[in-house]
Amino acid sequence: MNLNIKNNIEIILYKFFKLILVVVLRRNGDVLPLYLLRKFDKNLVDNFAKDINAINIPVIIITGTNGKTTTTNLIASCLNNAGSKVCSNVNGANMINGIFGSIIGCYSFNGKFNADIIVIETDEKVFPYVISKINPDIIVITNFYRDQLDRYGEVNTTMLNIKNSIKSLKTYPVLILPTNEPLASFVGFNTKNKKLHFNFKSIKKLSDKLDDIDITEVFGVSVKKNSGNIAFTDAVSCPQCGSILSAEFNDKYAIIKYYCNSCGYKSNISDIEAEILEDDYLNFSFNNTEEFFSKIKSNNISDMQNNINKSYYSNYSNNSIGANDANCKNNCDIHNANTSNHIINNINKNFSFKPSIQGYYNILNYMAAFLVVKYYGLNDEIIKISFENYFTKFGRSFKKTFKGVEYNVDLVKNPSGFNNVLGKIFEKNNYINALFAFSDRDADGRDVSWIWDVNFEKYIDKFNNIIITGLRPYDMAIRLKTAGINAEKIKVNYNVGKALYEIINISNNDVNNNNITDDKKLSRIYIFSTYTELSNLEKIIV
Amino acid sequence: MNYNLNLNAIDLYPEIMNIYGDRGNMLYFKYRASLYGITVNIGSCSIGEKFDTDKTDIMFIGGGQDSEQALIYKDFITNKKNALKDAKDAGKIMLSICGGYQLLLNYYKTLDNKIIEGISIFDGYTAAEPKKPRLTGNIASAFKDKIIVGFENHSGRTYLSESQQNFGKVLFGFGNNGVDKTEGAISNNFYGTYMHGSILPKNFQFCDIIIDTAVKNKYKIALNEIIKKNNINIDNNFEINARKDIRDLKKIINRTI
Repeated sequence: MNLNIKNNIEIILYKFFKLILVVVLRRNGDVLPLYLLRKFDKNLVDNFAKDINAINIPVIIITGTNGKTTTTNLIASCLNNAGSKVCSNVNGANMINGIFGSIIGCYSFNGKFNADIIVIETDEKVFPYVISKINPDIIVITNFYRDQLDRYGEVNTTMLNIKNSIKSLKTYPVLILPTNEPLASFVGFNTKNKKLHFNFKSIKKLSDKLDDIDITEVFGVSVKKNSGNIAFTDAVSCPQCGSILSAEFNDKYAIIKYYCNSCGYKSNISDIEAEILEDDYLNFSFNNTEEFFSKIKSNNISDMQNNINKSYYSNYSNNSIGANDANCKNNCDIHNANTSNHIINNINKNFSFKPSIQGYYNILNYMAAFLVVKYYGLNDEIIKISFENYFTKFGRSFKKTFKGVEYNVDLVKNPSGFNNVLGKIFEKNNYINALFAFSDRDADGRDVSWIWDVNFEKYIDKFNNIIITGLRPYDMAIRLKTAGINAEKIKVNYNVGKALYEIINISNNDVNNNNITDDKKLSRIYIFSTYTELSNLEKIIV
Repeated sequence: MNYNLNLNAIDLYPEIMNIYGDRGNMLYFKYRASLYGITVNIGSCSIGEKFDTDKTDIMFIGGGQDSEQALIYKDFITNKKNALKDAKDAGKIMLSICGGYQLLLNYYKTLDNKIIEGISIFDGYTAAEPKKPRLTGNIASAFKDKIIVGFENHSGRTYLSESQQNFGKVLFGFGNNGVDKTEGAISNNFYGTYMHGSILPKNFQFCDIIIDTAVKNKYKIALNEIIKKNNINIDNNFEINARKDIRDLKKIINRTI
């Protein structure tokens, strides 16, 4: 027990502040309580971090530019369904106050930590600090794309800071990395850490070289072939030697392989690969189940696996789901049998499910989450149930129907993320009525230049009517006008509520006048919001 | 339209010098020129490629990541230097932003005191000064009777020689180095600046100045004449309001110089 009396009082105060904020003031109380407490106790983070390290419970840290919140929530949801008590910052408060607030919130009043596992999404900038305090068992890196350059600086620097902070640890957390993204993957390059990799399945090869490919779109990166062969990517230079990288793409224009002809840095072989099946089903296939098992079979993780499996086992022992598959490794006091073979048998070569969230980019988030929970021995059924019934968080492929209006809300904060969201929406829609909530507060990124790297030109015929709100609506208006969208279709209203009301009216009229053909007579609204406007919208919509 | 006007633009290293949304300059230039009945063809010129100065009216280069800018230094000297110098002397237009601007100065001194040679279009140099903070934020400067606004984000500090004309006097923000109140540089019709935003859509009047220079260069006709003869009326409502939305610059934007 590393906590002192002061810390115990802090737990009480934290819960009290949070209660006041959430219940009385109806605000989200994720950040402020800890902000206040830290003003009075500079050692607060250190003390709680020491306590967490001492009780030795598994910690999973998720970081990267896009997909952190979704990946974190997918993992937490699987573990919850498996019966674990999960401590997580599921609301996406991923700076120091949000992270340690979530942790302190999981303590009971007597100072005992009341969760089996910690799943924390971490902002890229505070990641080095967080892992220097709390020992992670697993680190998931989703991807690195350019993001709010005024806050983060250049993306290579962000990546190197993260890589170096992992290297400087005394322990060797397992790294879960995409092999389709050269910067994220580089975090694991030349490290002693155990690594698990994921990627799309290679289906069709389009070209050998990143620099001479004639493309109009590359997944995950902002690409525009406007006039002349212009391809924009976020990582053209080799993170190891600085030469130009070559890459191969699949039929969806996702990078599936890259290599450096100068120094030999190249994409790793993946542990799992994803493939889209018929009827929107997804299949993850292991490259080599035995090799995967050998990677996850190690002494220092058996404790964590036991931890999960204990609760998993006790939760499901009376339930048909997974009762027979409960995996306990040696030393497991509930399940004494020597079950290492059992686990091998339990890793199926293929895992298929129907994802509850759409979007090609979400496949990567599903894969990262899948590797994490497979690492802890969760069985396929639990994962399938969790993945198929996963409810999206507000702003992450969020969808809600209320009084004949379908609200679709996506957070947009950088070019790659925005392009992904547009790709997802226009895969299934001919044209849409859209609300843009666009601001430049610190958390949004104060520089609005990034919208010029979003490929709106590709979709100019697909926007029906547009209302823009937020603090910087006219910057977005110019961007959309320049892309070729008729300026008369673009209206601005600084008031978020009124702007929403306006677009609903327009959309309802469209449906009533059969301007938009929809067999369900449903009025659909698509909302693109920067970070700080999300909470304003959430108050109105949810 | 009484005219069939065409301008040729070149985007330098589009796949490398592209991280701060500076391609918005080209997109907006093309868009705005189209309102005046002028067609803009945009071509690209990357590593190992050359371009024909005579056939080019305007060149664009944006900012890149330090790690990626290193890819182009050699090529810039070998394949672009002479063409750009000729272009400058011929009165052609160039808009260079941030990292691209730094390449047009005499040299860049890196953190480890290495000198990276520039092409000396502008007389001055840039130094990485690691102990000083990054210069980031909204910025406004005075250029002739216009207020130019944008967003700067650079760690390198640029010092111009006394004889080198700057692009603007800083009214808010940092500019070249945060000390001497200069922002960017001008030489003939070559512009260097730290402003992202992108700068042209943020400053439609400056965009018009560039279009005016381009049509005067190529067709010996002023933009005003084109506007008058064709009775062109442009709605600048979005553009004007976007400038007013920049809260940091509220007091400056309505000022007249």
